[in-house]
Amino acid sequence: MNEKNRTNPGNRKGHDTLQKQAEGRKPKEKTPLIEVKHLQKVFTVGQMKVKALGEVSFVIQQGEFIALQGASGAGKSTLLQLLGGLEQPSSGSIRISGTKLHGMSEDELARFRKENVGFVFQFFNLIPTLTALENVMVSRMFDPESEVEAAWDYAVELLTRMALEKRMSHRPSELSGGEQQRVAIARALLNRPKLLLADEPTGNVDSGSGKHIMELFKKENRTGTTIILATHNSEIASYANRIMKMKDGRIM
Amino acid sequence: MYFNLLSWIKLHKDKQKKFSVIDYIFRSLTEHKLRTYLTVSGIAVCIALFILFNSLGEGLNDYISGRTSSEHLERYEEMSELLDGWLNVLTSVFVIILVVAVANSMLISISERQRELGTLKAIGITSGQVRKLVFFEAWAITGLAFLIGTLLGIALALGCDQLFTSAGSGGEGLGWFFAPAKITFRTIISAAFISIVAGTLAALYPALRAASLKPAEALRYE
Ligand SMILES: Nc1ncnc2c1ncn2[C@@H]1O[C@H](COP(=O)(O)OP(=O)(O)OP(=O)(O)O)[C@@H](O)[C@H]1O
Ligand SMILES: [Mg+2]
Repeated sequence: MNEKNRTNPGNRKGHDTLQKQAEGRKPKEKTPLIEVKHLQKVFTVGQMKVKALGEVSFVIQQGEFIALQGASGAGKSTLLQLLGGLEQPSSGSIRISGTKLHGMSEDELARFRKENVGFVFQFFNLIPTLTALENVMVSRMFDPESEVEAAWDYAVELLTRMALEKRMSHRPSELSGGEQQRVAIARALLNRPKLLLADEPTGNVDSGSGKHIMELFKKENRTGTTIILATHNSEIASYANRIMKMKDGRIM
Repeated sequence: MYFNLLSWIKLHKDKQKKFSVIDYIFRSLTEHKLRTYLTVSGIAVCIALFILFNSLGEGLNDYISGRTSSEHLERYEEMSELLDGWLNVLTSVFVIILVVAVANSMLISISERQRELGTLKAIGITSGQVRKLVFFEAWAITGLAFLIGTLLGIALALGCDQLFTSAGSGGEGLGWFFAPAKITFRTIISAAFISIVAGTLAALYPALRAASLKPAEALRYE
């Protein structure tokens, strides 16, 4: 899929090439990174059917910073999980860089996530037994040694960028919520994903750390990474370039 | 004397720009020291007893065959068969205990780590790799237990043999406990084989369960 990014972690070429191609063809119309058509997600709980996502269709361009804003239960998390291939749609289609997500096997989806998608969760989800640096590296633990070394250098660079250079050998339990979330962001960025998905990333940190985290997202977005961030908070949403409002499983 | 094997390994593991699945398993085993120690020592005792009984059996066999005159040969063969039968029963019991102990430990380990495993899958670890994690962890436990159990078993067998010999009399009246022991290469190899088989059997179900975990479900808030 994205062979260059996979084999050479210290290289952004795959991404740049895509952008250049996009710019080369038509200066204004870029190839969309995400194309969602008639997407629906229905959960079956016992006899009940819960429609988490009505029919949604939208396009997201490369390099956008989108806020999914909506009340609790609006379907934000469901949409992010579908976009990251963690859930299968009930109907409709998702294309990312032209690749159809449905019809991919579990393993293909896992590989797709590793190469293209970074996840940031509300509850950080760091591995408690690992240090900050090891947490950033964890998606690479099955990789051959020769590739791991370059990724290690990049992990150090990312943690430094997150202002955590002094905390690299600390365990999550020794870090504050804001620091843990910054480790989680570094982990999400390690494989240079095209797409960063964040679900209420500031939901469990104090407002100062929340602002710091949003500034980091903003900076990352300027380097070309597309970000989709779910929040119910309009102040957090205002960091984005575009706000998609959600209500009852629909985009308004 | 306090000898902490895990911290010894930690000291002797050089930390370079490396992070592999070995480190991951090492961390999770050392995090739950008590559980790891309990499981490992339980299995080690099983393996030690296996080695002890087999060595005693071999020793006894040798001892009897050395003293049997040709007219008693038939009775000797009968006894020898009986002994082998009992050893096989014991071995089966040990294997079952081993499998249950390791499987139990692995099941606790994965149910404690649902969220962790879901996170790993969300960030790109495949189901096959999750399965590997569980197998590697089980093999690490049985491997360590095999090493400790073998040393312990050899020590026990040698101790029995020593007591028997130093009793001087050739063993009359000393009973089962102080019997001649003969540690054979075959016994050790059988113990290694049993450890590997038990570790693998024990990991099968936990590995399948861990691998079939749906990341979205595992990540749902507590
Ligand atoms: N696994 C599931 N099984 C059943 N219903 C579900 C499941 N996941 C989500 N839902 C339902 O789908 C709807 C949308 O949920 P979702 O978690 O996407 O909302 P959200 O916008 O992320 O809300 P919040 O702000 O509280 O996180 C809700 O009504 C929820 O109860
Ligand atoms: Mg949510």
